[in-house]
Amino acid sequence: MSIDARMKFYCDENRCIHCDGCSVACAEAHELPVGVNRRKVVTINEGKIGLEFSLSVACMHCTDAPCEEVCPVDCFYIREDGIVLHSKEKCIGCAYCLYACPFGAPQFPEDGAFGTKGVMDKCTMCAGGPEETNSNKERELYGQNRISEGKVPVCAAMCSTKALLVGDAASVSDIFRERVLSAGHGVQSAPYGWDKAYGK
Amino acid sequence: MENNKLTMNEMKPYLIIGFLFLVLTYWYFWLATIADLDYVFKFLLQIVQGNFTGQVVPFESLSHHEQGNVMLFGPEYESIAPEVVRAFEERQHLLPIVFLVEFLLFLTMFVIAKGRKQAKITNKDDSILVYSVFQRAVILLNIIFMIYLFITGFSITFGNITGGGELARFMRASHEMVGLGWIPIWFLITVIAFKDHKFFVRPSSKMWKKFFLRGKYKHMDRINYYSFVAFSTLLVVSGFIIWYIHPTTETYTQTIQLKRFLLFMHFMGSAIISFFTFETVYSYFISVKGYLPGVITGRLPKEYLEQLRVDVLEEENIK
Repeated sequence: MSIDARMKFYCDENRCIHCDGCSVACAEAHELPVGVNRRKVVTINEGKIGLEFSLSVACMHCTDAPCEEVCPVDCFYIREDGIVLHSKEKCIGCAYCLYACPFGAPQFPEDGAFGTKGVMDKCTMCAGGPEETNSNKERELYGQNRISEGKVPVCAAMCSTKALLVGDAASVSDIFRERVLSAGHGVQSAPYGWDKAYGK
Repeated sequence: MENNKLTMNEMKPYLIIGFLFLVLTYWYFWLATIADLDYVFKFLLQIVQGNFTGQVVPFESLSHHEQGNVMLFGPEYESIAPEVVRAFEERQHLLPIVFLVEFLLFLTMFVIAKGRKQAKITNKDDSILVYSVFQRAVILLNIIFMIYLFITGFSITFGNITGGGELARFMRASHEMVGLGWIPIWFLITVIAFKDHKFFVRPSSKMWKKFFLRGKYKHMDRINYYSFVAFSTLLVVSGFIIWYIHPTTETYTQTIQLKRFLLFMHFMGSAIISFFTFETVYSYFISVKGYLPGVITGRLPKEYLEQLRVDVLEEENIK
C-alpha cells in the first residue's frame, strides 16, 4: 500500500472556530468516561487580534508511531490503511506511550486505588480495536467502529466548518493545497503536527 | 575518639569507584545519549528558577508557527523524547547483559576472596539483642518493599516477556502504590542507618539505641550508604512526581517535558541502584555469611558478633 493511501487527519486552523463539536461528538459517540478526551480543541493566542487561532487535536496515527515503538507489551498495531490501534486487554497502563507521543494523545483514566492509572484510551479514528468488528466487546472497549460501516470518523463528520478533515493522504493533501491556493495570499506553513506525524 | 582519617589504601576503593563513575558518566551522557544535552542543561537551570514547563527560551522570541507548536504539543519534543524511546527500547536488550556482567564481577570477587567469611557458631542460644522491634520492622519492610519494587518495575520494562494482560497490569499499578508506601520506610532507613556516615555521633540516651542501628562507621559501608541515599532519593522523588503529575488535556503541554525528563532519571536511578543493591546483598549475605534469622528475631549469637561484628559487641559491652 502506498504511503498516500494512509489515513490522515488535517485540521485547518483558518476554519476551526473552537465550537468543540468534534470533541463532544467523540465523547458522546464512544461513551467516554469523564476525564478521558480522545480529542481536544486548543485556542492559541486567545484575544490577540490577527494571531488567535484554534485547532482540534487527537492521535495523528503517525507513520512511524513512537507509541508502538515504546510499548513494552506490544499492544499497538498499525492497520494497512495506517490507522494506529491498540489492545486494551494487553495494555498495562504504564504510560510510556504518553512520554513518546508528540501530541499527548494517550489518555489514562484515574480509576485505580490511590489514583493509579487505568488502561490507555486514545482516538481510534472510529475504527474500533482488535476484537471482532462491531461486536459488543469492541464497542464497549473502543467505542463505535464507523470505518467498518464506510462512515467518516464522527469528529470530522460533525465539523460544521469542515476544518477537520480525514481521509487518505493524497485526498487530504489535495484539499489542503486547494485551500492554500484559494486563500491567495500569505505564507502557509505545513499543517500543525504533520512534520512529526508523517515526516517532513 | 577514633581517628577516621583515610589512609591511601583505604581511599583506593573510593578512587576506583569515582573513576569508574566518571567513565560511566562520560560514556552515558556524551557518547550514548541522543538527548540534546545543551537543552537538558538549560532545562535544569530553568527548573532551579521555578520554570518546570521545559520552555527554555522566551516564548515571545518564537515565530508564530513555533508558538503554535509549543502551545499545542509542548516544547522541544526532539530534545528528550527520542532519548526516552531509545532508552526504553535498549533497556530490554542491555539490562540482562548488565546484570550478567555484575554477576560475573561478584563471582570473580568471590573466587579471589577464596569463598565466604563465616562465623563458627557452637552455641546458638547464647545471643544478644541487637535489633529493636522498630529497627527490625524498618529493615524487613525496606527489604520487602525494595524486592517488590524491583520485580514490578522490571515487569514493566520486560513486559515483552509477559505480553501484558491482567497480572502485568496489576503489577504495574501496585508498583505505584507500593512505591508510595516505600517513601516513609526509605526515609526511616536513611535516618537509622546514619551510623554509616563519618560524622555520625551516637546520642548517649538509651532511647536512641532502639532507633539508630548498632555498629560503627566503616569506610566501605559508607559507599553503600551514600549510594543508597543518593539513588533511592532519585527514585523516590522522580517516582513520586511521575505518579503525582497526571497531565490532563489542559495541563499536558506544561507538564509532559518534566515527566519525560523524570522518567529518564528514574530509568537511570533504577539501573544504578540495582548495582549497589546487588553489591549490598553480596557484601552482607554472600561474601560474609549473614545471619538473616537475627534480623527477624532481633538477636544474634554472641559467637557471630565476636567473629564478624566486633564493633557491635564492643558497643554492647560499653553500654
